Amino acid sequence: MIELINLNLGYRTRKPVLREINLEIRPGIIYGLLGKNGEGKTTLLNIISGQLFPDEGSCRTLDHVPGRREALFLQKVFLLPEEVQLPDVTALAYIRMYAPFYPSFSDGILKDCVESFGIDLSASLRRMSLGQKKKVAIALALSVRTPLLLMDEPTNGLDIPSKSTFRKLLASSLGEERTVIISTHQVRDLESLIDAAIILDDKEIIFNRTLEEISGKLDFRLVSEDEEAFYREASPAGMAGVTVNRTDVRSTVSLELLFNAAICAKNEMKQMFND
Amino acid sequence: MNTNYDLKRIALLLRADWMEYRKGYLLSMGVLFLVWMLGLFFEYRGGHLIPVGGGFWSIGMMIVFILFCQHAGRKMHRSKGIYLLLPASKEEKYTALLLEALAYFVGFQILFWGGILIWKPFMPVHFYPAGNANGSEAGTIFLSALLFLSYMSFRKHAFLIVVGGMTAFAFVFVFAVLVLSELIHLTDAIYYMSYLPDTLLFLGDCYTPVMVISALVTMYVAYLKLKEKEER
Repeated sequence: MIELINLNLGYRTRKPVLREINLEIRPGIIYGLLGKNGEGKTTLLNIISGQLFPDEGSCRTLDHVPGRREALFLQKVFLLPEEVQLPDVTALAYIRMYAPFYPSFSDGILKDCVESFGIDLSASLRRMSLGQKKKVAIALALSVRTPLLLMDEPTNGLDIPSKSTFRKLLASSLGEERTVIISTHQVRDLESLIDAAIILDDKEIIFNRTLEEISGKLDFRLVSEDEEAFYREASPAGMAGVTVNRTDVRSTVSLELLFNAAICAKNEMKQMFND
Repeated sequence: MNTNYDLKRIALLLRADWMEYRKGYLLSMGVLFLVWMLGLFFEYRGGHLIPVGGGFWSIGMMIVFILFCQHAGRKMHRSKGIYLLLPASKEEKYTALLLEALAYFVGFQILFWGGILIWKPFMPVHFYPAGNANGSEAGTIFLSALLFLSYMSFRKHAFLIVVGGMTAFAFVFVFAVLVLSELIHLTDAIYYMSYLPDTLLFLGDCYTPVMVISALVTMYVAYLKLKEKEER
């Protein structure tokens, strides 16, 4: 589906933005792309979608070289940027402008999105709030049904009920062959959706596993003070931590704890998952 | 089959642009038409308020060119993920842009000749717009290339940058000529003055090729800018 091999990218200052990235993305999975600010999450999405060209290494997306930006490739990829800039037209005109470019566009999904988000299609996009604009952009992103959907902080700007609606709509619009990569800081918003986590740290990918693999090896629970753990933090219920899973019981993966554990105990985690 | 060049996608690009930019296009063409009609009215009344015929054609063409540069600049400076990722190839996007340039040009021609057609019955029999062949084409070509480069390079104030740059250049040039004249006068006036007119004549002769070459170089720099924007 997506294959990045020894990929390096740096901007004009020669400071690396991404370093030795090796990544394989499989179809039909929702990936959560996690990382601190400035670690290169958006850059990675831009490379996968063909907007940035790597300095070294290779990237193949859906059997295409994304940088060539062939029309047939672009029909299969949709990127929802963090800051949506919409034209000065009505929501309906916006959908009519861009939907015909995507042969897989679904009127049914659009109708669901419009009803669930309560979008006023006759309203001018210029007069909409940030959250309303985001809903329109999400409605288009979901209804084009591209095999690859890239979303950069999709829940930013959405109110609490809309976040829940977004989760439902995304889950219902997925097919077996549709892959979604969501770059986010709001891990709790999307925890229930994500099937696999990719963690970027210090310009490198330090972790890329499915939640099934993670829960098989790690245990997310309350831990005691003297217990060995990859990471622990105080929570209202006690000390929450990440430990080795020594049983067959699988706990619910907390992406926030996983992320902190992967950053704090980078080598131990790497060693455990490679064994 | 060439899957990277599809007329249907070009039509979709044009349709999307029409939906987004039609208000601005129609408004600017409408204003130009009104000014033209007003100009012809004053010509009819013998008032000569604005330069009629060739003068209006030249000014109008420059305005239309600036409008097109603004349009192209808006597309080029759009944030990532909108224009670049629209499912159409580079060739299709460039073709659509070229057709839009044609739409600006043809739109202006229609309003220009349409205005003449409307007013012709009221004008004297010999009424035709005046020609504009005064040898300034090379300068206009260079100025157009400079404007295009400016709109491709700067997100905002592209026109002001060109006008400001040209004004600053003119000031420096005039100042340099004045200083040079003064120096010549103070040193060996007779020697230099015998050579200066020849130099100026030579510069005058070079004007057209220099302007055309400068325009070509400017267009090449604009092409590099476009290429850079496409890659980063």
